[in-house]
Amino acid sequence: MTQYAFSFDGTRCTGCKTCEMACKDYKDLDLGVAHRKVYEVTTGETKRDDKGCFTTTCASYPLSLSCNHCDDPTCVRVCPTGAMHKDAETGLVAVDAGKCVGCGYCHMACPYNAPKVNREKGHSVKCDGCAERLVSGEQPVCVEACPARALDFGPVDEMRKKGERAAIAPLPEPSYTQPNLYVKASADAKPAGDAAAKVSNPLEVM
Amino acid sequence: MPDTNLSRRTFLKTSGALGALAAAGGSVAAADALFGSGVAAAVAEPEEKITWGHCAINCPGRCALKFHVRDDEVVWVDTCTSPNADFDDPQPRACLRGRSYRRWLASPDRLNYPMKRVGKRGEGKFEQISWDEAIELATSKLKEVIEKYGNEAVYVPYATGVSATTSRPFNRLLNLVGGYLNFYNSYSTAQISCITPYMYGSKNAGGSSFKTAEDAKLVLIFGSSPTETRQGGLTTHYDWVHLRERTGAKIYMIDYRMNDSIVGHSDQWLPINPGTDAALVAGIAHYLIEHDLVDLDFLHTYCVGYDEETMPEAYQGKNLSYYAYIMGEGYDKVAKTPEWASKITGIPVERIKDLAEEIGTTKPLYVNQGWGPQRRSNGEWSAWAIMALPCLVGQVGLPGTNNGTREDRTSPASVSMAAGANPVKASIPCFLFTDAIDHGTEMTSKNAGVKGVDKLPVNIKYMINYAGNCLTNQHSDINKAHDVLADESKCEFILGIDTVLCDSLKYADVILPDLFRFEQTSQISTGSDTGYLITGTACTSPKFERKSAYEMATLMAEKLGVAEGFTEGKTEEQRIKEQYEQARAKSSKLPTWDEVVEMGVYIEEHAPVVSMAKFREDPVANALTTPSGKIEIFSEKLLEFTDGWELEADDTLPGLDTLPAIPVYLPEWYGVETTTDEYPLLLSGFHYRGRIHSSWGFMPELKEVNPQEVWINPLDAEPRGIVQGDTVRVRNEFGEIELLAKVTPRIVPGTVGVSQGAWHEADMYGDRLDKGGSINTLTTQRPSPLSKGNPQHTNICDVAKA
Amino acid sequence: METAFAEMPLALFTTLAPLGAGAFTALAVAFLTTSFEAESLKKIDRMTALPVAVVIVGFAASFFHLASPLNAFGVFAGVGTSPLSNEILVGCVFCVLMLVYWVAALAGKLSAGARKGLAVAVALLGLVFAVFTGMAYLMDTIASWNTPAVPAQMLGYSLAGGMALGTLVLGAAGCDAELAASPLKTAVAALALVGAVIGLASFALQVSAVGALSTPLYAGADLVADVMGVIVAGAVALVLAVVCTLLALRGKSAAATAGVASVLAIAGVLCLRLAFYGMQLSVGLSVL
Repeated sequence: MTQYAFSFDGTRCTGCKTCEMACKDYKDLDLGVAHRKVYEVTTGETKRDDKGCFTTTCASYPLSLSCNHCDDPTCVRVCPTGAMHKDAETGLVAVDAGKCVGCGYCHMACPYNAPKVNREKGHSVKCDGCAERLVSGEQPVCVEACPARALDFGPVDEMRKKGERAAIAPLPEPSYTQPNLYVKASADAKPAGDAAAKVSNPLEVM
Repeated sequence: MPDTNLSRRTFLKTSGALGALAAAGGSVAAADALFGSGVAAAVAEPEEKITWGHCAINCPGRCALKFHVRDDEVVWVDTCTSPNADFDDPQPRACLRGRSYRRWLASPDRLNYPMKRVGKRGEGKFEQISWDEAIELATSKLKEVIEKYGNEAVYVPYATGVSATTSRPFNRLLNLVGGYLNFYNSYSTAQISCITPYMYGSKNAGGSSFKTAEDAKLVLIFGSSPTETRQGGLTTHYDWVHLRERTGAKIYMIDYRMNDSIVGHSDQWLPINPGTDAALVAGIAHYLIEHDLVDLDFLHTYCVGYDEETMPEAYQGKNLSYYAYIMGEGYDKVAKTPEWASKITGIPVERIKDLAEEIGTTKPLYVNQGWGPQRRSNGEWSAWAIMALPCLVGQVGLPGTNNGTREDRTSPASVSMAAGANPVKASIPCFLFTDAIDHGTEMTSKNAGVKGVDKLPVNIKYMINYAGNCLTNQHSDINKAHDVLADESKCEFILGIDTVLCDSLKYADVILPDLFRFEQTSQISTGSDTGYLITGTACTSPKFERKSAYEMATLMAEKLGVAEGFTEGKTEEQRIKEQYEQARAKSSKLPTWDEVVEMGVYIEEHAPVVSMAKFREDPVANALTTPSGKIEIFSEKLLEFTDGWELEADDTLPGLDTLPAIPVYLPEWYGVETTTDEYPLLLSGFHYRGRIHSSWGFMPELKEVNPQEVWINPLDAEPRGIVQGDTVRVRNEFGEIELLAKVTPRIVPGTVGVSQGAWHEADMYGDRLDKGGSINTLTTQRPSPLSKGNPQHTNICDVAKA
Repeated sequence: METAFAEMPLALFTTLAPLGAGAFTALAVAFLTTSFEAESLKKIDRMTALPVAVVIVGFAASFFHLASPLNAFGVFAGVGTSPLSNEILVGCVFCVLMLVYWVAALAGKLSAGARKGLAVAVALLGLVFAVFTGMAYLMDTIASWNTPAVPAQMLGYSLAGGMALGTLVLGAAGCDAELAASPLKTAVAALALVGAVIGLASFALQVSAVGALSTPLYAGADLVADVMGVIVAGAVALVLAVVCTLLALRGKSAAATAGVASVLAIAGVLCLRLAFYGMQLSVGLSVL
């Protein structure tokens, strides 16, 4: 098996959301559903002293995130029906719509906000790594869409060379699920678990 | 919807092989070669058709769109991309908006039929009519207006919703029936486009490429967010990210907002009060002079007006030089020390001094400005001051430098459809069209920048608003604009043409439903560091009763009896091809027509441009087109041109009875020094990723993840009881808008930011509260003094919880 | 609170099914401690329809939570790995045994010994099921739920509510006198009290832990504040339910009083369950 992985270059990403919208178009996702989302983390303060002068400790960075096709995916672990499964050849995590009961456990358990139950469709939906594109030699649509070339996808051995296993805020420690996301962090990035590193665009990622 | 029901067996088989391939170090791209067409056939639906097209909206990206079409319906929109593209490989990839075109194409809001207005102007009530009736109404009213008022009463307002080599058919049509009132300026660059020729001349004064800054040691960017203003394609989003990674230079982004071009690199942010860039430059200049860091050789050889030595004869000995202004020897007699600048800009004194020291000692220096600093009441002088900064240290015309203007843009040769000659000579600043409707006959060259004639002979009575939202939404003071437009006795007829009913279109008397440029054959040439040309064909057949603008203009031409002159017997496609052949005659690099259609996207790489390199090399042989042939830090021409102009007191410096002829800091009318108790906050606009101007502003899919928000610093939010996500109202003397609060340290205290372009959404015959959150409900129609341009970032306001 | 109400089907399931199951503990205690007249036993068996119905309605509610209930037969695929599968498996075994017991009892096929043995088995399995209902929420990626306090509170609710419902069964069967006699009275009262204490204490422990948690998206303190009203209402109702159960155990109009106790118990536990769902806090980015 060759495990596939995403890489994310935080020094390049500008938070433009082209990845998210390209995916939404290609996968024909309705309002309220996105398989890739862009989180903004902003920390620090910009203040004005009594002379009217600014001092700032503000740092801010975007993170584009889809399913990380984890080595130990909690969504697969908790799935009662086996609908959520990890492909034996590529390690991509996908939903078997014919099996999914739509209980929402995968959504609750995933610390990356990846699967979500689509009630109209009657099953969980999530990033499948554009498996069908992979077969025809293409990259996932989000990767090929990125104007800043911040995303990449490929065998995990190649992606590993591009960064650290995802451990920047707002992500959890990678130990929970062993995500196949490798991040080249920007100077502004805060470590996973940093109490001050909140998601500062919550409306945009719900 | 792509076919994802690939059999598991097929996938396992192929991905297994893929895995092996990948393990051997190959990229996924190689899979194409390995699996050949058999796999592709198993994946793609056989009946899928692919067409190329281009985005045509007012962003220079104009990105490549690759339409996947099935049964005459677009199923998804790809772009110019490839699986194995290297960071350095130029690809005009569409942005999030281009990626959303399928939803716009098939939007329930799309205009399908000609319509005529049945409610009041601005109410948005229309009913379907036939094409015959629509064309008859539009042309008979045009004839009537021309007969009654003359061609000066006909106007084609500033509109930027469609760009292509054949996208101005109505101007061509009108020129065949006696012409129309011209405009000059744009809503994008009125102030900087006006001032740059005074300083650098009107030719060969463009900026250096972003790529040029790879060789710089220090990069200063004033009021620009290259990733947000030009998000897609091979324009500045990509160029900026590429430059940032490739250059060894230290970068400072001077902005009131930590914009999206800074995120991840916050050490590059230098927060400043909006509208005070010229004060920062003055403070830096003072330090440079005090510390002997100015390049006097350069200033004396290449420039006019820095100090007495190079002042024009008539102005010598009067302390009117830039030096006299900076050192407090002339003008307001105030030394522009870093301490002085600090109070205005909000930048600590030490920070200004450190920056000045770096500027004075670091070479090459690349100074660049966006169009934010100039879209203000003092924009001409702010832009000018920023341009003067690299001159002070001689960092112009050399490798790694820039002349302080915006970065260069290259594009392959192209030829646009000839509009013909306009018999009408009169021209107005585009920003003053509502004045020209309301009281045009009072507008003169001295009070309103009228050109071509001393005064307008008639008010505007007829308008063709093609793909534009500048009648209200993107104009200023929407409430005032409404009052002018809603009065049918003023502008008697408005023909509106668009794909959806934007706010401006609600004022049209007749509406014609447009096709997108990718629903027809179309071509465009654009680019930034890299140029590219896109040739598109129709992705689907025209749906409903939509027509192309060229067809509409042809129908009008037939009614007006000028069809032959208009078409010259050519279809639009024939014209595009003919124009392309003309472009090929100019540029031998261009492929043949058949090749360029086949490839869809033609990319042309260009060597990086160093601004004014020839002038630097030999300022005599390659003199500028300014009166002196040199860089004019003092402009005699400006004084001559504005002689006798009617000015208001705060249009210039106290004690001065002319406009300033050097790049001074002018306090804004609604600025950091002129806030009031009622409106204690500054309000500035910015470009937002979810829209380009107002285009895409109606789309729920984009609005969902790009909400309309006012950025407000926690220090301003807290005393107002505002927290992240609250619905708030922003208010000033011009109106009131309602939107969400983004409480963030990414904006300086004392200033709030509202992204421009949100769709105005108000009951204009009721309370006029704009629940769409358009900043132009809050902007003034008073033009900036010299260019008569739109000062849309110059505002004061207050914010409260709704 | 919006998130919590969105989980109403789950809240109903996890309220009703364990509570109905708990009633069998009361019945088992009754059979172990008291010898009933044959006629009384018949009435008790008929009234056992009440807890059976509560359990079945609970399971039925759970189907409304599913986007594709028709695929529900596949939920045993995850037994051993998915805590949800485990819960449903135990729940199903319990249901089968409960129905076997009930049908056999109604048919009069149970000897006194068999009745005791089977009732004890159903009771124990019911409590195990309650614990598994709680264990279904133990996931290492949901910090606010991943605590033994969760199965403990389910066990507590099952006991406290189960005693109310069990008392109702006996009261409705006309066994007021038997209820009022020790050791049945003492045992049921003790179990109700112990259940309430375990339930409320473990829930309180969990709530205080959640209050101190935060994620990049939510602050636990905000979530707790949001559901605090419901928590208080639920806790008060559950305490009142126990009080009513104790009153019913005095043997005067036991049916009516235990009926009130049962309604209060269901309402109280439902509130606490809703609050529980409102306090979901991931270790990462799970959006409520």
